[in-house]
Amino acid sequence: MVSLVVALTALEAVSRVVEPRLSADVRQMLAQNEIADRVREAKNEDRASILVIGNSLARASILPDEIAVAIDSTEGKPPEVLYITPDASGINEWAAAYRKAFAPDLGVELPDLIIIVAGPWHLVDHAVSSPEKLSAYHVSSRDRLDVAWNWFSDIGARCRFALAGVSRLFANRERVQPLLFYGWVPGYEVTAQRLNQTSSLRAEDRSGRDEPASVRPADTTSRLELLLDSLGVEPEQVLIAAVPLPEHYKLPESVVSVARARGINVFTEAAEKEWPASAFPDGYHMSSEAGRAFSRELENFIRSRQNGGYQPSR
Amino acid sequence: MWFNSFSFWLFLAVVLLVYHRLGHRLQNRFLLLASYFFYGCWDWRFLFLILFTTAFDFFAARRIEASADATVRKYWVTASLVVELGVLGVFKYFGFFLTEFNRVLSVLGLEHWEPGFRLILPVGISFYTFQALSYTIDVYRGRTTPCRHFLDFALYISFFPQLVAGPIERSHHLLPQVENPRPRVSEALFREGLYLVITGLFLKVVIADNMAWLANFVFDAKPGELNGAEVLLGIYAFAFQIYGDFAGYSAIAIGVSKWMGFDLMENFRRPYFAANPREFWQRWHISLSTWLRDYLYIPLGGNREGEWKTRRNLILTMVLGGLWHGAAWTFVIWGAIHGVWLAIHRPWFARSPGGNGRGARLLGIVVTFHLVCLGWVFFRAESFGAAIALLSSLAAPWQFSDFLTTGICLMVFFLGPWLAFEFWMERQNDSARLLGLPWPIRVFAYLYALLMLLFFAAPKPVEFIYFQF
Repeated sequence: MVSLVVALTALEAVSRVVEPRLSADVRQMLAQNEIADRVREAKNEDRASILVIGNSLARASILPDEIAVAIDSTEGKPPEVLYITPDASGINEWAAAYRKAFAPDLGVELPDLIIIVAGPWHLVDHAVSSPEKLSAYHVSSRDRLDVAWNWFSDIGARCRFALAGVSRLFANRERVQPLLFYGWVPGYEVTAQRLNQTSSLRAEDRSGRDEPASVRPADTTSRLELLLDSLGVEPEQVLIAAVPLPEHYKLPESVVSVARARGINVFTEAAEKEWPASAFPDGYHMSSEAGRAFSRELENFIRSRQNGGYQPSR
Repeated sequence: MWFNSFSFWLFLAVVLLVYHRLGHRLQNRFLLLASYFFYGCWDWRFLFLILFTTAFDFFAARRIEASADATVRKYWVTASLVVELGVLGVFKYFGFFLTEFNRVLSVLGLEHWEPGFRLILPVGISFYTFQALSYTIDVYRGRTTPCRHFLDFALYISFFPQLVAGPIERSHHLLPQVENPRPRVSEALFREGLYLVITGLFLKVVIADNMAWLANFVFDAKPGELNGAEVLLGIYAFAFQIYGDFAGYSAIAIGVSKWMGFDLMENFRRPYFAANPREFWQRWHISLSTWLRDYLYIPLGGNREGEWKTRRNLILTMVLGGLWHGAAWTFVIWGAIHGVWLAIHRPWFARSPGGNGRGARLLGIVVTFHLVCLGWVFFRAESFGAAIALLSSLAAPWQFSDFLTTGICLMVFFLGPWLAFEFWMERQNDSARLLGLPWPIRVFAYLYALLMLLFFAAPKPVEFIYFQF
């Protein structure tokens, strides 16, 4: 028994060393730990900083060189554009990650402009998709207990959250199988896609295409409110932008009203209009060309609202 | 609260912490409460059904014991059979018989009868009903002394590790363990339990759930979507899914019980190493096959009334055993396949009970496995037509495809080490041989199992198949 515990501890140590090599997503999430330092360094260099919060949709659609010009920089120095955009994330991860880096009681320098980039359902309350990722990479130790108590509806998810908080081996366990199988099992990628697609179709057939209430996004916005109340900057330094998708949409009314009640601008025009199918080469994310066009629209929107752009808060 | 869920292990940790601080009588009361809580997590309303079953059989057994009159004794054992099988029939078979009844009405040109309500199948009802029945029958036969305390008997019926999917325990084995103080859990007993829990989780989480991914794809496919080799792969995958699923559940149940000082009966013993159907049923779901033997096959006459009646009894027993699994014709056909196979094999076995050497045994294992797989097609298919369509697909051209190569690789990866381990145990003729090996080998084996559990659990946990029975 003791030998087993020793072996597992050794494996845990190894997993922490090789962690950054597991995937680009992990590297990105680990980099979030340095984001507050980079904001501080930018301030020290008299440069503005822009923080983009979102997921892979935001990374594809907000191009740093385009969005950087939305802010009037001091002495011609380009602003620092930073991203909190973990893969497959939503408001739960964003609220937790921002609070981890910039919670008001930390007394750290804050970004000059914060752009929250979201699709139709990313900002309304929904179940945490990965308690492991949330625990290992996004939640601060201050928020851990509150999150464990209030953000989950079942014991299983709470256990996974707790375990991932102490073990990277556990937190990253689902990354090992794809790493191995995609590389070594012939035809695995095609087969996995085929099987998963078929199984989702069959599940939909069985349930009569009705999504169970538990996985349907709610119409409440408590996590968004938590994020907005934690930002610590003036409302005019914050912008919520609806990212264009292949099918045009409107942000939920609850999201818009929560933002407007706090004096925060919401940019939805780009998502409400039709974009050509070629703008989404993989059927979901914007191409770099389309991203550039969207970034420009966003930049124009920011400039129009701020009469000459943001000024670094210092 | 599935055995492969965190909720269960948290629940178990609390139960064990409290349990080992109590004396025997309080342990029983606490375990009963825990068992009802465990069952109530599925649907608390069915606790009343368990309570009814428990109370009726407790009372019936007392009446049987109290009377010296054979007629009265027979009356109460019959009452127990009628009530228990009646409850099972209503909850499990009402829908099935209603469908068949409406089919007859259709043939006669009459309107369907709709009762205006729908019955939900209470989880584990087939298991605890059989366990309760064995008690009253054994009391009637004088093989078991009736239980003195209602709460002890209630625990015997609802002991949570084996409540919803067995092993189906016998009163003369489990009841004394409930009634008398159990041994303290020694380090050796704890290790035995740990070994069973880890192998059980491995079978369920690593083998069954990953095989389910392949099997579901094949069994849910539309006719003509797959080639023959892909269908065969899916059938093999299901054979190992159901084995891993059920043997895994049983191993966890037995292991967890050991941590509380209980000794439950072995339910699986490397069934795919069986070389004939008789041996298969001595290794597969042992608690059910011995139950059917003792309470159905032997009372029907067993092998005492000539060859043809013996064969009839075998087929009848297996058909009813099939129906026990579920209310559908596919289960009846599955039972019939096994019954006919056992009946055909019987004279052959009588000629050479020990087999004919290593080659013949190997051939026997291969043939047995494939006939078992034939049965699984009917067991798993949605309908008789779907099973036939799937079997017909085996004749479709065989060719390599991405699904086939991936499936073969995954089967080798997940099943290869386990089958090698089972082969080694088979050679040693000892299911717990690993426990006697030097610690570095044990650590390696456990570490392998734990890492597989950690890294190669199926993306979506699959419900235990036998919970629906």
